[in-house]
Amino acid sequence: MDINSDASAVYLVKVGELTLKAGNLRDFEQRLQQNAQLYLEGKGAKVQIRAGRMYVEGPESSAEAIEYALSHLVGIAGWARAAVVNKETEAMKRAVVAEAIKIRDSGKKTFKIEARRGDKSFPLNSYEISRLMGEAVFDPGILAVDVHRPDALITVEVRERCFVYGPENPGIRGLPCGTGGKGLLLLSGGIDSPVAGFRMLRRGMKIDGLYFHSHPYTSPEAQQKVEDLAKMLARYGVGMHLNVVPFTAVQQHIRDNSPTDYATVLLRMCMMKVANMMCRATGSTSIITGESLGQVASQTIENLTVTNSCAEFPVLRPLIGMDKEEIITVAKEIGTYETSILPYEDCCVLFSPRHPVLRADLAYTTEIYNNLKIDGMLKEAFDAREHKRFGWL
Amino acid sequence: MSAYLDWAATALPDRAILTEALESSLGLFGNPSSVHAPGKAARNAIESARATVARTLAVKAESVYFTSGGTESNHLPMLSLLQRPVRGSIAISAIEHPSITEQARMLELSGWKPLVIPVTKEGFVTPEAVLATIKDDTAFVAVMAVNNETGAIQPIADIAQCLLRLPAGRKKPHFHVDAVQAAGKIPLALSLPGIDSAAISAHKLGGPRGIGCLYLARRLESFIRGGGQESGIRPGTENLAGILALARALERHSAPEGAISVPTGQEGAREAMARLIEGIARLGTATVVPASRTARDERFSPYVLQCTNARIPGEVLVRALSDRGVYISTGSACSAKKKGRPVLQAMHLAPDAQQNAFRVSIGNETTAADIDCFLSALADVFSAM
Repeated sequence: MDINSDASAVYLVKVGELTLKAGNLRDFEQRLQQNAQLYLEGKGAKVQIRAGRMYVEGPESSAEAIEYALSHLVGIAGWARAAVVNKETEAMKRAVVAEAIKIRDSGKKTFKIEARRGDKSFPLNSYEISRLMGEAVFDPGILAVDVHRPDALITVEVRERCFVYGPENPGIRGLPCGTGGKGLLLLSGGIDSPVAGFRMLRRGMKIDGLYFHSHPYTSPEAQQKVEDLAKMLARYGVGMHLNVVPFTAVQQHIRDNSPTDYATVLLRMCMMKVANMMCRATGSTSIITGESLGQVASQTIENLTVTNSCAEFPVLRPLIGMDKEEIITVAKEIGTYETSILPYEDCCVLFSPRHPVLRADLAYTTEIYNNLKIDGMLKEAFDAREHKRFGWL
Repeated sequence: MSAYLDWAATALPDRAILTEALESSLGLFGNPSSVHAPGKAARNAIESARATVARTLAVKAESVYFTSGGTESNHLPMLSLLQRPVRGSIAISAIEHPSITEQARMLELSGWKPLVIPVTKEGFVTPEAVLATIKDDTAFVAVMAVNNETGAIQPIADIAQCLLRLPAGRKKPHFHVDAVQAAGKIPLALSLPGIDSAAISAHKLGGPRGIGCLYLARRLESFIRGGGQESGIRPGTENLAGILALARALERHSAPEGAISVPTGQEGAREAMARLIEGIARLGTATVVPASRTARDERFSPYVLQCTNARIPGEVLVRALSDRGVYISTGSACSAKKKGRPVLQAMHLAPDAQQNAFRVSIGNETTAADIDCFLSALADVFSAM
């Protein structure tokens, strides 16, 4: 392994599920490496994958950028900043002791050394390395030893040079973004859709966003909220495109030409039709929604069936079996919750029937939809879309 | 064609006032607290502005303290309560501005108990309601002079009177009047016995933001401490340009008649408001709030009108009118970002009527053409939506 001689920030990264992908492991690794390089462009950092392990190294000034990348890139199980020292026991001990002091200062009491000897020409075997390094920490009383359930693990890897690192930071896990095709996320500004998008991102899918705006019925703040959510997803998704489709005329047409209680389900049908156009235009091969069974009237199985009938692409609903609390927990983890709960409605009360139909009949609803003769209007709305792109940094 | 009808949020800036204040302040660069000549010159300009403010408000010069505006003028008397050794209750009318209601919540955290004075269905605080609300330990009462959402003129003189006539043994609470929507707009007699303090802001009268004044019948212990400016009531180096502009703006809008500060030049506004109310009645899509308000109703400020409608949420209406070049708001601009309409709720307006309510507010320069522009845009919105 060649180490950049100027490099002072070195990170060892455990890749996620990639290790399970025997056949096309190389493709997955390459994608993770490319994604990491995108996050670190212009930072003078180098990304390498060797033997199922990713190494990121760069000048000290790039440390912050590297840590941002490692905590947002999908496909990483965990990472740690390592001290790189020469393969001499004294130098190794110094690095181990420095790490131990950091651990002690963070309030932990016990440790264990885990040694790996990749370089078999190194005179000490891994057991001997562990013992020697352990003594260096234990003898001056920095930490106590616990080989069964240590508070912290200090890892010493002897390869071309020696890497010493403390506790790992968790990664996002999942599969590298871009290895799972491209999906179109219907983003509303609520709590659910960003979580749905994140879940698919984590399965390696590249995500585009689609938002329907109804000025003046909905506020510019509501659109801003969706843009802010898209920006947050973009950080995990190596950027994100958001298309904003003006839907005021469509909503008015539905209101004026259909039974009130069908307005919501008809609107969802129209959204699916526009999503089809968007998928065709941008090469997405699936539609992602934040629907969760029974959460609201439009999400009963009957109404989902009706909505689904309009989709020409597989509709992925990663939240379908999750309850609200579970969804909120994820939203808080990925940082979208606080934005999602801002009080800007994504749909005006004027278009929300007080008693929406709960179990729409497919044939009957399709007939109402056809009578709307709304397809031309949907095409117009689609053509009037506004495109925005958000970066990953 | 466009029409600005959100004067209660902020008036159109008066170019002459702002320019004159800026020009003068460039010459009066000294710190008014400095003893050298430029300092003295600045001090003299401030004291002369104070005299002007006092004269137009028909109060004594030593009772006027310059502040950063309405919010701070409302806060100073409230914060003064924190200096008192014993906690008690504070009575706040149900229709006060958030700068008072929110500060009352802050005082609650410090051990003061807020009491809410209810209003009539038409949005008025009666002296009887004040008396029924206050308790033996009530140290502070706040009732605004003109409500910023409905324009309802509150009987502050009567309230002051009845607070003076509390039974023997009961201490009169401090009576504070938020006069931000009243100064220069309705006759105002702040020097009446019983009124202890009042808040005034310049930008509602064409002056700049960040300047206002506090009327204090007698000194109070200030919670803000510093270099002793404004007799220690509001320390901090004086905003000279702002002070000059405030004096000029008040002078432009009112003149003293005995103990009363009387608004001047408001005939146009009275006509415009009457035209507005009659026009809304003719359109039929919207109604005024309260419904009993007539075209030339003396119970209300001629500058502020609250309306509602049966169909379109106020917020949506504001955006749709904005697209048509007509600028109004739903209620208090300061609470536009929050949900709910506490003032209308206090008036027991139905929830739908609250949600669909909107405020039209005008100034002395509002013309019949502005009103007609609004009325036709409103009609257009209702037919288009």
